[in-house]
Amino acid sequence: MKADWRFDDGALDEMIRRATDTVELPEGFEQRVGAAVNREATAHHQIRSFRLLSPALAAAAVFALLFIGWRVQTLFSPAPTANAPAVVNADEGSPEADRAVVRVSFEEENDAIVIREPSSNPNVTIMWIHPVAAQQASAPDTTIEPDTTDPTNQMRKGSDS
Amino acid sequence: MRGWLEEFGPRLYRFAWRLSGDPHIAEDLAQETLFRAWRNRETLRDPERLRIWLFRICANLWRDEGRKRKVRGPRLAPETVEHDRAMQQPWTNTSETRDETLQVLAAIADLPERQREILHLAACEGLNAIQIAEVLETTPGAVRSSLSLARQGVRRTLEQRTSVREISHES
Repeated sequence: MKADWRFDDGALDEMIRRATDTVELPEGFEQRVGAAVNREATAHHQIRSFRLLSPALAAAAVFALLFIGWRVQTLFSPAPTANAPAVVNADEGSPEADRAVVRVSFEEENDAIVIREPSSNPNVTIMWIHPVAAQQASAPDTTIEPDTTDPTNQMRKGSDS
Repeated sequence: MRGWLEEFGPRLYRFAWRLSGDPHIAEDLAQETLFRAWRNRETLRDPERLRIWLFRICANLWRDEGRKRKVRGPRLAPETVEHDRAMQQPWTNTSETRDETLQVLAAIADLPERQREILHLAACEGLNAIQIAEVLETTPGAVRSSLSLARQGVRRTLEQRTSVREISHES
């Protein structure tokens, strides 16, 4: 005996289900929904890839700017001076430093003013040689003794010690 | 995705159609539900719960749509929805069963939205009170209460329509 929907919940639900099943899908529903979902999924994947790559792109841009700035700086900075004096640290541990004797002397006809600069390193002697006349100071073929007592010592022509 | 579309597409469409009464809105809801579920499929830990998860997404989307509709303007009257619905559906049965079908659909359309939702999930999807509560984010007690009221409402409407038809046949 068929259950009466007026009294039986199951029968009523069955009637409701039959009625609802008559609701047909619109034509082309699956194709349209499938295509739309695929489009959205592709777009979402592209956006997500861009978001993952953007920090790396930003870092690369920062490094590129830093590199360009460094290159520009090196291009326009002055060249290092030639004949930069080599600095050799004095061997403080050596009890007997083997000091090189430096002698500077001039020919009689050469007129030069020599000004010695103080040096904190006993093994280093600094001096400024200024030609008095408009003549190039000829390469000195002389030696000058290190002056350990007076750090500044002005010497004139003929000094040969 | 193809598997989800074949198994759940029609069911989601019918649920959305029951909620909205509009075939275009129902198609949009079903489409958006499937897309959001596919995009977040990694968050689904238990594949057995896929059905509940899909209907929950659909119900939430409809609720968001409902908020927008309140801003846009008043809804269609239930009679209009019922008539449009009947006119838009391709019928596959005889005139007598079509009559019964129309009456059942109209009786459900007269129910408040929450009762329509619950009755559909119970009768058409076979979900129990706990599962329906999870879909609609409410309590099983509230579901049972609403389901009882929904069935009473449908019976009352069908009995009234049946009485009217019998009287008109007699006359």
